[in-house]
This record gives sequence, structure tokens and C-alpha cells, in this order.
Amino acid sequence: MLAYTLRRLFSMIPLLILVSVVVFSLAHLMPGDPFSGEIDPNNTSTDYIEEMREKLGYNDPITVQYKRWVTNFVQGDLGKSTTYKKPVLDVIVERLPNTIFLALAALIITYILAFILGMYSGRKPYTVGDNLIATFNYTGIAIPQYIIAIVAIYFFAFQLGWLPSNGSVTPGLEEGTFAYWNDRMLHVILPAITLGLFSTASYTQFLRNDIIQNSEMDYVRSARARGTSESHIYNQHILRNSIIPLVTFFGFDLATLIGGAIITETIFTYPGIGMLFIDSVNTRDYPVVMSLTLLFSLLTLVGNLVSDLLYGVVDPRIRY
Amino acid sequence: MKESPYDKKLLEIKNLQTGFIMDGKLHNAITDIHMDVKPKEVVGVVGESGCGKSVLSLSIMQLLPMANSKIAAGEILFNGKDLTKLPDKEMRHIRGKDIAMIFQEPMTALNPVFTIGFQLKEALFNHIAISKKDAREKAIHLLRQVGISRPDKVVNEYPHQLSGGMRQRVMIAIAISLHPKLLIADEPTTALDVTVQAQILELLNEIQNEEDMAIMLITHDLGVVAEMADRVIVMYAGQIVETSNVINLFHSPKHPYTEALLNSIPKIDEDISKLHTIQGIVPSLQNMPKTGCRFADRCPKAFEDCSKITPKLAEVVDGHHARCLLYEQCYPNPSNKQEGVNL
Repeated sequence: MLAYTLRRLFSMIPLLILVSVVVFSLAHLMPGDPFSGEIDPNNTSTDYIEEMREKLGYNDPITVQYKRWVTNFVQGDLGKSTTYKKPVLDVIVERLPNTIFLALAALIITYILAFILGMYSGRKPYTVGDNLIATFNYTGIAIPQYIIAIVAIYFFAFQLGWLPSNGSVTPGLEEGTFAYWNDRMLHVILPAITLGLFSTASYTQFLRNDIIQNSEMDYVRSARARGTSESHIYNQHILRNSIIPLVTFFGFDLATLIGGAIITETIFTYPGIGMLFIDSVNTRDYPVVMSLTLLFSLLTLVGNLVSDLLYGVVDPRIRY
Repeated sequence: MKESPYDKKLLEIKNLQTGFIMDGKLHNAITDIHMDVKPKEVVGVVGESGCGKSVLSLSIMQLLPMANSKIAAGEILFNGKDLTKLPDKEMRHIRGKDIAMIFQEPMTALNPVFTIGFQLKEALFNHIAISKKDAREKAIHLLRQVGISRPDKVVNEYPHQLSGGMRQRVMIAIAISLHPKLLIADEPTTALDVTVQAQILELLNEIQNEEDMAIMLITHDLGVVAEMADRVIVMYAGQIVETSNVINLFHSPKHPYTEALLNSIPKIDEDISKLHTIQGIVPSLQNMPKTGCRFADRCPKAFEDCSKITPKLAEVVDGHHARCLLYEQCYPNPSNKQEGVNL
């Protein structure tokens, strides 16, 4: 297992290099640079801008720029955000807890709901309950996230006034107190449900179908033949088999929940990584954009590795 | 056969009719099944694929897929109790304890993600109060009993670590764990290598002697029947066409189907370029002939009556039953040769 993990980590290096080249090229293909967005050309002489471009290395050949960026990157220097005038690492670290909090909340909601609904539907397929769950799920899959988010804000924040519609915490609360955490919790509910709805829907249907498929297996019949009760058959024999494919999703979740919260975070103005990414693209904050893109790629690779390792844990037929 | 107080019946099936619901209509897979199994007896049930052998065994176990199948008529009496009327909870206490079953596919019959020990112990926990430690010891003991070496290791292993033969041994160990009175073995050796087949049959024989249990052996292999069974039931297209003790069946088969089956066994001293086969195929559930003998289309001895008159199962020689119009007794109404109807 350790050797396998190391081998997998090692094989990520060429992939990451490839990704870094793509990220770097794409960033440079975007029209404009930090100067075109941030500096008022009426107040600053074009000579000065040119001088600064020269000084900051924006006029160097692209290969030199790439080499400089990578050299700094591997040494932990992600560059300096042109918008925030702070090291990129600090900017990201500042936002990361919010996103992780949101991702965790979404994950918990997703898995709890998906397991309850999926197990019910799988055990009682083609019943009224199963059909209702399927309707709910396919609606959830069909409606785009930004519409769900807006509808949720309209009903739960404006009409009913149950939950806040934006931000991650009400300003002025003292950090660490119960009121503070309670407030954060309330702020995360709507974005987390919006974020988790799609995966909840697809996992539920996936689990349902897998349970139905497994319930026709020979091992189920032989378990019945030795007098095992239906609840044991479903909750032990079948469920234990049906969680194996779900493990694959868990790895993907890791990447999509951190990186894929862009829309949700933007609509709820939730200050996390997703919003930072969109803002940075708008202000041509290359160092942040490149660092985040690389982070997303890294998370995808790590997520895949985590899935594969979890396979080994849940499926005794797989050993590394 | 006259009933005497000496041949008490363990399992008695009367007029069983089980079918599948297809396109809203019930199509019978087995009809008019009358049979019994006495304590400690080995009964072979023979027939080609699709003749209803497995449906019969699943009917006894009440393990038919609930969604699309139905026991339409008849009784399955086990120790006098009608299994078809038993509530599911009571039936569960019989499954695995009084009646155990082993299946054709040992490769898939065990749950791949649980250890052998888990599945063995589960059978025990389902029916008796036993501590975890005792259950483990019992599991190891059972594995040893079915001839598995290193049982203390195997108990912690997963199914994929065992060969097909070993897995079938494990299935047998699970089946005999609570000393059932009846073991239903549905093609227990079909999926195994010939050498392993012989070992498994030998094991079943040994266990049957040790445990004093009855075995209902379902197979399409007449060789297996000859080796194991005391009595044979031959099935064709969902009906019993012949029953007799094993010696009479092999020496003087009464039904042309049985004759044809015996004829299709390749003989080692015979030099032929083509094996004997039975012409045609078994009629499908939807296309069962409404009247007449179901084997008539394929029967070399068929005559006029065969497609018009439905034979009944009757005793043709002492203790030897057949369902064929070659015998006067099998006419539904011998006096006027009236037509019968297939269900």
C-alpha cells in the first residue's frame, strides 16, 4: 500500500508539469495583463507602465517567465497577488477555511440524504415512495445550480427569512463563541444544499440502481437460503457491496467541491476559493489564477488517488 | 405406491403448480407435481435445462423471485407443515435450519466482501443462540468436516481466495451447519471440473451418511444420479414424466424421454462419429401444447393419440410411474380414452 501510494504520487509529477505548462500558456493567452485593468492610463504615463512591465519581467521571453514562475512555485513562492498586494499563498489560505467548511457541509448533507433515500428506493423499487424520490432527483439534476440557488434565496432568505442569503458570517461577532459558530452554520446551509443537491440526486439514483442490481445476485439468494433476514440482507450483504462504487465519487467530490463551488459561492457571495477564482480572472490576477488552477488539478489527482486507496479498504478483492 | 406407516414422508409435494407472470398472464413453469422425499433418502431430479427443476427447488425453499412468480396451486408439506402457507418469518426459521440448499454456481454464491467465517457464522447466528467465540470454533470445525485443510486460516479468508471446489465445500459446510433434515442440492457439481465434481459428490455421500439427512439432488447429469440417488424423478417441460428407483430407471426406462436421455450418454465402447441427441427443443412456457403429451413433437414413438390426449402420471409397473400413452394406465380416463387437458 505504501509503495503503491508513493508510486502514484511520483507519477503525478509529469502530469503536474504538463498542467503547469497549460495553465501558464492559458493565462498568457488571456487578453490584457494586470496593468490594463488596475492602472488608470490617464493618470500614469505610458512610459512608466512600460518601465514597470520591463522591471516586473512581463517583457521577457515566455520561456524565461515560465522558468521563473516554476522555480519560485516549487520553492513555495506562489507570487504576489496584483489585486490584494499580498502573497498568493496568504490570499488562498485566508479563503480556504470557508470553502472547506462549505465543502464539508455539502458532503455531509449529500451522503446522509443519498444513503437514506437510496437505500429506501433500492429496497422498495417501483413504489410510490421510490417514484417520488426519483422525481425529486431528476428535477434536482435537471435544474441548473444557479437557478436553484436563486430560488432558494428567494424563498428561504427573502420570503420566509429563515436563513441569511449571503456572506459567511455576520460581521461583528466574536470569533470562537457559540453565537459565531451558530451564525456560520446558518450561513452555510443554503449554499451547502445548493452545492450538494446535484450529487445527492445522482448518488441516490446510483445507490438505488446498485442495490437493485445486487439484490438479484446469487449471494443474496444463498444468504436467504440460510435464513438471513431481509433487513440483514439489505443493510449488510447488499449495502456493503453497493458502497464500493460510491467510493469513486468521494475522490471526485474532493476536487469538485473545492473547485466547483464557483457558481454557488458567487451567487451567495460566500467568500471562498470559488469566488476568489472568479474575481481573480476578472482582474487578471495571474498569480492567483495560475495557483488556483494548479491547486484544482492537484486536488483532482489527489482525489483519484484517495478513491483508489479507499477501494482497497472497502473491497477485499483489491490489494495494493 | 401404497402408503404404509413405515415410509413416513419428510417432504411431500401435492399437485404443485408454479408459474411466472409474463405480460400479465401466468405461464406455468411446473404443473401437476406430485413427489415425496423420505428421511435419509437421496432423490435425484433429472431433466434438461428449462424443465423446471430449479423452479421446483426454489418453490420448496419459497425463494422464487417475488415480483414475477407465483405458486398457483398445490401443497408443499414438510414434516406435515404446508410451506406455501407459512408466514415469511416462520419460513425463515426453516431455511438453513431444517431445509438447506446449495447452488450451482459456487463462484458467485458467496458474498465477495465478507469472509468465509462471517458467512458461516451468520448461518449459526440466524438460528441459534451462540457466542461469537463458539461460533468461530464451530465454523472451523465445519470447514474441517467438509475437508478443507487449514480451516483456521480459511475462516478469515475471502471467497476470491478460494477455488471453485473449495467454495462449494464452504457452501456445503454452511448448509450442514445446523444438521438439516433435507438438503436441496441444485446442480452442485455442474460448474466444477470433473475431478472436483467427483470429490464433491464423494463429500456429499459421506456427509449424508454422517448426518442422516435426505438429499434432493437436482441435476441434468445422469451419471451423478446413478452414483448418488436411491430414487429418480425425471422431469420434462415442467412435468414429472417418470419416477422409479434408480436401478429400474436405468435398466428398464418406461418413458421414451428417459430412454432418449439414457441413449444420449456417450458410451466408451461405442465407435460412432455423431452423438445421439433428442430432436427438437423443449417448448417454451408460452408455447406449451394445450392438449396432448408435451414430448409428442420430439418423441420417436409418438402415435396419433399423443397430440390429442393428455397423459397422466400413473403406476405402470410396481413402484414405477410414467406419463406416457404407451401404457393404458396413463389415459386420463381409460374406459373411453377421454381427452385430458394440460394446465
